[in-house]
Amino acid sequence: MSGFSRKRNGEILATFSHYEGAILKSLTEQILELLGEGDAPADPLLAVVGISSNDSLPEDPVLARLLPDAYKEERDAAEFRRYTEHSAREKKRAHAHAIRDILMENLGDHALDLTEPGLNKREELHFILPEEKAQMWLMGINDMRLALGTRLNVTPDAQERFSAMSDESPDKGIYNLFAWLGWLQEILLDILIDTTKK
Amino acid sequence: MISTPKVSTADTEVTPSDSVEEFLRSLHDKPWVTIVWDDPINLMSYVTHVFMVVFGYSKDKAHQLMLQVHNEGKAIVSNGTREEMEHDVAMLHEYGLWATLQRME
Repeated sequence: MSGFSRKRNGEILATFSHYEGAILKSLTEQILELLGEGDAPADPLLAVVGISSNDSLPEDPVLARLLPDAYKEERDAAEFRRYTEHSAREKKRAHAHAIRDILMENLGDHALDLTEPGLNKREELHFILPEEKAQMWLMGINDMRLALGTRLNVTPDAQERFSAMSDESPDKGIYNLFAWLGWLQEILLDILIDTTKK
Repeated sequence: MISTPKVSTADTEVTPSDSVEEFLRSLHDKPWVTIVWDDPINLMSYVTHVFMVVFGYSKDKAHQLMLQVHNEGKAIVSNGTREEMEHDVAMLHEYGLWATLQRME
């Protein structure tokens, strides 16, 4: 069974099939590509202090959801964004890297290549998720859910809408992935909340 | 919640107009709020968890706030100076919640 569990010694054990590991890694790469260096300031001096020359809400709805406005009022939102978007992007990138780096470290690049001959896609891989990385994973998985959910235009009745869809529909496949990430997030959350209680 | 504005009485040199100015300034600085808006993607359990981690709220309080967001479409989750609220909103954005700040209405 894939997901996360707590070992007797308290460590978080992550279990994924090759296939799931590859999907997660690919998602982190898409997030990283999306976040890109799009805010690269024109003025290198501004770059040093982390001030972005960009001050408007991203046009891409997914980026706009990942980097939302802090104010309803446009002028305040623009001002705030100029001083904070750079670091907000960096934080989101750090979440994706936390997931990708651990996958790469533990699985090795070749194991994540689904075209590798002789690779058993269903074979399970186990690795320890360091406690200090768990919150980053939680936020990173949430970023993926926000990205996919926004692309799919998820609404509160999404489950009914997508289960009625034909399995042939590409959106259905993406929705299944979105639902799997929600399930994964819930499991990780359970484990983390259990610890804070102790 | 707005804290009572401090007016110095020990110093006789404080003129009434200074006190008034200070009072007005405190009104100007303090009543900012952070609002979290409902969205169809974030899990309810996750939102509760974020309120506990970011604000140190008890599980009960965090759960109540999450329900308010869910049922009423939004909830005020913290208040303070503008700078404090900008900090809170940035933290909530890092966690992926949809949050804004504004002057208390």
